[in-house]
Amino acid sequence: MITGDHRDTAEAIAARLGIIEAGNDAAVLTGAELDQMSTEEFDEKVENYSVYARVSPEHKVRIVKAWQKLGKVVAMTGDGVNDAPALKQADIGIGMGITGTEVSKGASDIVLADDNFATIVVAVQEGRKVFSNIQKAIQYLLAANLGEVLTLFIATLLAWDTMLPIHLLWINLVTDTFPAIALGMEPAESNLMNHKPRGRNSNFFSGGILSSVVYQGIFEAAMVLMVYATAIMWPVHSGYNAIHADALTMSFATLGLIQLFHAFNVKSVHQSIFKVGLFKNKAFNWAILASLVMMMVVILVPGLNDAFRVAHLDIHQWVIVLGASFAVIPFVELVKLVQRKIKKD
Amino acid sequence: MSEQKYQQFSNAFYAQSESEVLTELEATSSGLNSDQVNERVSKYGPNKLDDGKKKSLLQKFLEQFKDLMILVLLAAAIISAVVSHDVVDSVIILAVVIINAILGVFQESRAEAAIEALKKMSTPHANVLRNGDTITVKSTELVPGDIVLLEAGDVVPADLRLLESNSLKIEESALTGESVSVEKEIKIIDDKQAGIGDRVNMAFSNSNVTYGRGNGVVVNTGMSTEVGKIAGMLAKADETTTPLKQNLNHLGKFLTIAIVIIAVVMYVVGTFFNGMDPIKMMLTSISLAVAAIPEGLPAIVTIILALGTQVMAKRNAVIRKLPAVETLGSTEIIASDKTGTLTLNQMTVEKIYTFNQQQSAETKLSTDNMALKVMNFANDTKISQDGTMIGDPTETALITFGEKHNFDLDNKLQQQPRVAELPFDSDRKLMSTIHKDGERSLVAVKGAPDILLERITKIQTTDWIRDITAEDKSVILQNNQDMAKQALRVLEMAYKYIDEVPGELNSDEIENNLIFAGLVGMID
Repeated sequence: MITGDHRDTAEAIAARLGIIEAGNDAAVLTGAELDQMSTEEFDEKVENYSVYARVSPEHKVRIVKAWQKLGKVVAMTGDGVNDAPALKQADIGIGMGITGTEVSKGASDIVLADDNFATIVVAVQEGRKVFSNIQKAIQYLLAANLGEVLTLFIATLLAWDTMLPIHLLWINLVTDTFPAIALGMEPAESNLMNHKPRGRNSNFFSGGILSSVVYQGIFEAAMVLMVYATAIMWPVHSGYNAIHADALTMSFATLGLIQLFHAFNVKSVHQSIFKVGLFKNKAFNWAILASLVMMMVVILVPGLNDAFRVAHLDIHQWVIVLGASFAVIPFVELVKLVQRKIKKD
Repeated sequence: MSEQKYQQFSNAFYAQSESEVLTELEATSSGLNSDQVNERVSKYGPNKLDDGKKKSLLQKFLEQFKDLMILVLLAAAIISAVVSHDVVDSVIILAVVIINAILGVFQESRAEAAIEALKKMSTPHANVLRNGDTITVKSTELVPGDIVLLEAGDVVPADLRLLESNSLKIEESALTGESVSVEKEIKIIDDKQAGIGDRVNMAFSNSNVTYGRGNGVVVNTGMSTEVGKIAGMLAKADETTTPLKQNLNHLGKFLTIAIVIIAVVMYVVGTFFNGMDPIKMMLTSISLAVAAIPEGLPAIVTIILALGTQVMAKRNAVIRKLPAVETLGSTEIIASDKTGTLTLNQMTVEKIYTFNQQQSAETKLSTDNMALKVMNFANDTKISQDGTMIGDPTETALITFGEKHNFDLDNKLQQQPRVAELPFDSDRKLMSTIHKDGERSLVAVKGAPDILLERITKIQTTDWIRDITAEDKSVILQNNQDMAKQALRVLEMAYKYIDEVPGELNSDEIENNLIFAGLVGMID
């Protein structure tokens, strides 16, 4: 808490708000005391203080910098022109919609329309949800990327005709995009505000995302390659070109569909999707449908399938494709189950 | 920034006498002459804030291509076009790259409003004394040494050391955050460490004159003024990279390195060990690069963030910079202003003390209680038609308190109309109103406890009025301190009856020999 009030007033109010315990004089620092400290001294002691009394806006920059040196992500509120440098310095500058000057709002990252501290808490909660949803989108997209890389790499080693850039771009940019965005609209998971802030050093891969990307990517590649191998070993058509065209089409379809099924898995990193709710997120349902249509259009519509250099598949081939794609759900569910068991023990 | 372009003064002018300041600036109280002005314009520069370097749209667009991931994609597009003569893939890749760059530029452009707003605050004209005459000049033409005349309604055009102040009050909230106007004086301030808010003999550029008249000598102009220093700091403050940006950069670098390694390995294995066609292998390697790069990721992250801003806006948090949505989620330390953010910028009565009794604001008071009457009478709050109160927060709090205790102010004021008043000033720290009450008149006084107590000679006990004793006074002071320790702002109420309202009101006469009514403690 930062205030221009006198020390005693500041202490009494902070105690009322539960920022410090009543009578905890040591947690209060005045602007004059801060002026006496060297930067090094203050950097060392900053964690001891929760309340700053009689401070002017100039002190705010020092307070922000000291916390940032400790590697903390710092949010700072302010409304005067003099607050602007501190607002800019902070990781999150919070301006005041009602009392704030234009300059302070301009230097802020977010502005509270109601000037209310509680809104910051709401915003933090919303921010955590957004981060967790971005993580889901990244997990989803990178699993596909890894799957594609492994498929291409192994196929090349085996001297198989692999998917072309156009196929990969179609999946990366079209059919994967809708579910990825829709994952951004997933509702918050229930324990969101109970864990500690993740801090500056965490990244998108923390919380089990990296391992998920790896095993899911490997599984996707395995499925696609298996479908390709099946198509070559038990061909429906004859002739080298026709067989390889079938195999390529089937692996393209498998990769596209596997991602659509996999999107359901990603709804929760650790929870079973049957617990999270399969169809709760309406935007997500529409996204899956849209992607399914986009995938089918390029394979089934004459003319378009020529541009995409894909062949016509018969019903047996489709069954193989669907089966291999769907397998991603039971597989990931099983891994999640094992992970939860291990964590418990 | 060109802060060092024009050397200006860095003296603590507020700690010097008027004549010392004038000597230092080689100025006189009758103003500079034309030659001096011309010379100083070239020496000190114009009185305006620097524009700062602005990136053109093209520059911003080109900057997007500094990203490694984008460069790899570009290379892939070019190689693909050259090797295969089939441009479809290249065109698609190029389209992806360009859309990404446009999104990046769009995000950046929304973030540059701060210095613009500062410049808008600047004043167009100022009244100055030059060659002994008062003339109006553009405020950009002011130089150190100019004598500037100020009156209510003016915006201070540069930093001034005041030479004259006739009840001059200036509102400096933009600089200090303090919304109460500062009363300006011309006396020397000895404390060389005085903060901006305490330099009452200075007037700062971009603050507003709310009352009175005065004049001062310009000591600093343009980027050397206090507001200019802020503009300089704004331009300099390190744009901290958000955790999101750091994360995405990190991810991008990692992927790029991985892609290059894998593509090279694959090319080597394919061409030299499997004996495949080098051109075909080249294309396959490009496929691999395309496969490994999550092309949609930046756009998708942007869209998810944008969706987050919509949700937050509905809940009163307006996001100005997109990545802030995500940074918020990782916030560890929240440094918050108290007033208006942690607390409502609104006073509420918490405690009231009348004779020997301190009680909470909820406990019922009689509508005849003199403390209740005085706090409502000696009060300048205006109540508009729709019931909203306009006035000082401490005074509106008292009216609200009266309403809660069924004090019918309109009715009482009809019976005992206000006939005269002694308005608040900061020397007395008191305000009084006089009300006709039948044959005699009621003087209602409210003000700072320590000062008002000295003017009190009687005390109202539960049923009668008697002379106040030293013991009474110490009990009152004790209660005052007690409330102050609980972070309450304390006001004292007193009153007396007079037979005749004098034609000329005099504080010593009216605000003396008062009867103690009570203390009230408020919190914001």
